[in-house]
Amino acid sequence: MVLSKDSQEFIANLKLYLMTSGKKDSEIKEIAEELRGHLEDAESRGKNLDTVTGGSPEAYMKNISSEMTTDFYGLIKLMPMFILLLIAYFMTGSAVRGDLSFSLLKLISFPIIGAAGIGAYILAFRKMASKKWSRKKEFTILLCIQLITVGLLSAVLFADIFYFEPFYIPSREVMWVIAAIGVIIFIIGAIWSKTWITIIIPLFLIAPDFIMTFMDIDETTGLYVNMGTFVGGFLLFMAYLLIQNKKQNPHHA
Amino acid sequence: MSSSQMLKGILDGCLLAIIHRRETYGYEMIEKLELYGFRMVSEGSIYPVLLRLQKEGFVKSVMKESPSGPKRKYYTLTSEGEQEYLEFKERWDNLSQSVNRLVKEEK
Repeated sequence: MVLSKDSQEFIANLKLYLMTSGKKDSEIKEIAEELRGHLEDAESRGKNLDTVTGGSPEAYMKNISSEMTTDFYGLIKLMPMFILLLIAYFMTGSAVRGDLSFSLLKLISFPIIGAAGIGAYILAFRKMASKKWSRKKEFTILLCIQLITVGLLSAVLFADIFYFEPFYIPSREVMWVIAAIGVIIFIIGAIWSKTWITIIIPLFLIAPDFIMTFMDIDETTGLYVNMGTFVGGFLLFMAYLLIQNKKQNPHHA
Repeated sequence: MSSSQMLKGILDGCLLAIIHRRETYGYEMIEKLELYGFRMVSEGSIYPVLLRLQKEGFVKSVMKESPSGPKRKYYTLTSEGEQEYLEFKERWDNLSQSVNRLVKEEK
């Protein structure tokens, strides 16, 4: 018995909604499987999704979510790895390029921008799960978050170069050590999250810099290459999300 | 007040009553409810209630493969659930008697 496209999408969205609401993985799987079973029974008797959700998937998801305990302990357990990865994202690239420096501005603003960006992504995915938005709208929203985050980071970097004195500039050797630690964190992150994403994205962001440090390339070319790989990395990330989404909806054409 | 709103407060008890009879799963509960004339509930509305009943320790559940259909989650009452069911029955008897007396007097 194959579920209708609407029902499959509903189950996938419910999972996403509960996940971004901080519910326990095992409990999400359980309720999703139970509802899938119910929908299969219902559809084989000629009923549709609306008879199950009462016509409003959004209200229904909220209702289910409110009866599930939020897994704060599980969320807290994720935090240290998350913070480590975030720091590694910010530092490894600069360390490879050799322009790593620590200033008060960066130390304060990067964590805030990083946390706000991640928060915005989680919120966006949560909304997308419960609202029926078009793919175009979803893509635009994600792109906007990405652009705003990158814009803010660039503004900080710009202000930092012109108005702030770094209080510590590591030597080149120390930078390579930092870069190596960053790479190790990415690998641990990949093993820990059981996805390749924490290796693939940094690879796109950092590998060009790494290669270019050994080549004689002028700065503008370097900048173009960086921008290119950055956009490429972003597109790859989007493709990854789409593939993940397809995996959850194997029959979703 | 619509009947689905009225039902909200007593759906917990109705599900306890259905599970009390024998081990059962969500879709079968809906069929039972329909058999007894409950047509005002949307089918999915029993699942948040079941989640709550499980959280409160009144029911326990187990996943079972079914030979023909999908995997199903079967529910049974715990001893606390049996106790809660008896109390629900008593509360409902009192309440329905009072409401009946009141409504019939007004005729």
